[in-house]
Amino acid sequence: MSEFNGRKALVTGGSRGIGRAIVRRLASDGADVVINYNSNESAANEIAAEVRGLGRHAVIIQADVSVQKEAERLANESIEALGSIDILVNNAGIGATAVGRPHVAEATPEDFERLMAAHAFASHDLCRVLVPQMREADRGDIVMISSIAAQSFGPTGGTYAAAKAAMEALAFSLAKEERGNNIHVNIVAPGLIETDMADMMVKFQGRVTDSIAELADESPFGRLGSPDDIAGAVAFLCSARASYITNQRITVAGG
Amino acid sequence: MTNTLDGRAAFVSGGSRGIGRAIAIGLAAAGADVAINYSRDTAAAEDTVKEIEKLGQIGKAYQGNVDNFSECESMTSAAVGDLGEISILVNNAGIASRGSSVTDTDPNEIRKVIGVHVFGTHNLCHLLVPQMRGTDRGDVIMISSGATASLSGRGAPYNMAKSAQEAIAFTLAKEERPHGIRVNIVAPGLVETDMGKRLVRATRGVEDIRELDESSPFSRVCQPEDIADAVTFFCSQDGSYVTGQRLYVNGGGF
Repeated sequence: MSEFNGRKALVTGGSRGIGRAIVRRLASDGADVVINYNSNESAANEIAAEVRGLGRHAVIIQADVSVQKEAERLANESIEALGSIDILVNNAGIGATAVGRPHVAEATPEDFERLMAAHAFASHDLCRVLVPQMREADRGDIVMISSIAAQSFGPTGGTYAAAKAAMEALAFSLAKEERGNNIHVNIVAPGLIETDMADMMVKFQGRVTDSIAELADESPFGRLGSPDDIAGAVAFLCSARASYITNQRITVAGG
Repeated sequence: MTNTLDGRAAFVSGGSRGIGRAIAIGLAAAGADVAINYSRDTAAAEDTVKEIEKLGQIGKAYQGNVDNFSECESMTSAAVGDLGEISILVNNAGIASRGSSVTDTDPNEIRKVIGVHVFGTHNLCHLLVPQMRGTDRGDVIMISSGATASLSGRGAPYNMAKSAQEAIAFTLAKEERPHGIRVNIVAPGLVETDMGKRLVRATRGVEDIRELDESSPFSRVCQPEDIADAVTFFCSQDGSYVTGQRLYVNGGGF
């Protein structure tokens, strides 16, 4: 497939989990990719090598996108590295359980601030720097990786859900503002996907003893969602097949 | 990872013209054999079948009204006979309402519009979903409308019909998930079809729908192929963990 030949993508949180699958899919379909990571350099190098093996350019850039200056640096360095960016996937995120106090009443203002920064402020910082140059491209795509949490609003995760809800609001507003510039803004909202983050969450919730894989049998279609399921939706939304689709959210959760 | 529909067979209601025709051709281009239903325009139906065959797939057309259960029975049993198990059902057949206010709407019009969109959809689901449970994967797609978001005045019969059709979809998605059947909704806004052309003529006095390109999202009126691409996505490997969802294909709305 060469659907994305000539396109240049930035995937935040691209070294592992869902982000990694998105990087792999965009590159398989022809895009050059900036892989942002925060802490796991060896994982970033692994997927970069995989992208280069597909004959595409891969650049890894360390940045904690929840810090404004780092998000801005990431955006600027991405433009320098590939010349321009016309696909932005805001995927980097942290779970409420990683922060440690997922109940609304116990979460500290600092916990909440951290979650809002990682999901909502980071997305805004990256859009702020990248959208102006994206307007010059034939087509631009921004995909927010949200979460079913922003629809279900279940217990233990209110601060996370609020951050994702804010991120979605940013996307729906941006979609209307930038449509005239042929920039498409859409949301993919995963349910439970087999990643390290989800594994940590379900262990915290006491739903499994050893591994998230224990939940496969009771999951939709008899399996957990896979990072590739999310990558498939992202690839569709950025493709010519979705050229009349913007301002939409696709939930990938097996229903 | 492949998004092919090789080896699958589809049934598309209202498949002779407009959006249904583009869906039938899109599914065939992705590798499916396709049966279409049509109510009146035999020549158009034959033409769609020819396009399906040009793509190297089996194409068949069956005349009948989807709001008539016994006609649905004949059409679906003929389709299963000709194509084998149907694992993709696209409920696309539809009619527009007349543009009356709620108080002025003839009760018979409501029954007629709901007959096609809602009872028609249920008839085909009732007849085809049970045999779909035995296939590796099933997909039911409802072609709804942006009307379910806007629920504008002077559209009550259509708004009611599409809302009820979506309710079937969301319910069916939960019921059939254990059988590997995905149920999703594609909801177009204004599309360049005969129905879309009539709509803008009647509501806005626009004779040539393309005059609206400039004021449309992305500077163009939505084409039937845009809708077909979304349908094909849902039925493909990329859409295998997606069910119970509604996707508006409307360029972000007006």
